[in-house]
Amino acid sequence: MGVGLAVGAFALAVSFGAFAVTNGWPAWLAIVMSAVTFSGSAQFALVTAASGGSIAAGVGAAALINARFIPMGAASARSLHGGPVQRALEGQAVVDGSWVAAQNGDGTLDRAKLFAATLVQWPAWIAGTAIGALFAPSTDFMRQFGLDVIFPAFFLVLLLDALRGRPRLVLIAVVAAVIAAASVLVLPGGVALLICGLAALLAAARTAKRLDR
Amino acid sequence: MTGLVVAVVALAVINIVYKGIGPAVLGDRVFPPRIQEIIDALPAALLAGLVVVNLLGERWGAADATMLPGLAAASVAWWFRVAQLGCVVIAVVVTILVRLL
Repeated sequence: MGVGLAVGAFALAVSFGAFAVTNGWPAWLAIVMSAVTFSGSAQFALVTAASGGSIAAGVGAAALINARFIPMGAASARSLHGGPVQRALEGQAVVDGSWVAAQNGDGTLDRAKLFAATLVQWPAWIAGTAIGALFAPSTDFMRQFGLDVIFPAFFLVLLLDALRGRPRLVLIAVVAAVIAAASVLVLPGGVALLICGLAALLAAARTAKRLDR
Repeated sequence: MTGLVVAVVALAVINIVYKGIGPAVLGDRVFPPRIQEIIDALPAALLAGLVVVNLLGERWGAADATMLPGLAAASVAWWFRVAQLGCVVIAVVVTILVRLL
């Protein structure tokens, strides 16, 4: 299980490192970002946004995309050990792949599995970013070997996973995709992403209201 | 450049707070369904946005139709419950083949 997660993280990280450098980020900063953030979707969102000059919008979009960590962390609370500070520290091990892998199926979390899965992915994530950023393959090389499709394909699959069995989210995702396509025609990428997030907030608030009744 | 460093630091701090606040403060609290629904919807919407924005690029300048068959193949593979990594490999292989044509 851990090896599969690490290989996936590594492959995505290589494409992230290359993506960041070809978008004008210094290699060292891409590597630092991977070390301190360790969140693919947020990192790609930030780089996408910053290449259009809208750094603040990028941070906003990344913050929205990662808001899922709040409920994920809260759901992990009773499986973690110690007082508030230790639990907050242990909660840093929550990343998508590990969190899913560590579910016991009864609402509790296998704490050891959570840590183990994160500990194998994190170095793979940093090492992959370093290789992608330092070798910074040319755009032609990326195209020739189909490496530029890794990142959209990965997020497409993540998206499909998120949508499985949840028709309400399918509608929201389709609306977000249409909004993104329309707004990126005239706006910087980061602003387009941020608008997607805000539209999702509105749409989700409306559909959730219907659920309340 | 300074802006990028600030952005990286800001994102790291936001992430640490997100991951720490649940275990430290919220405990095992269950969110009201509406809030939970909204939080659930955000990744789906932003992932969809992220894929589209990167496929098209600003002013649709990066639109590259040769990626579409690979992405379609990945979706089909996903439908047949191929693992994430397998779907990505299929997308890469199909994209290489399409570009060779």
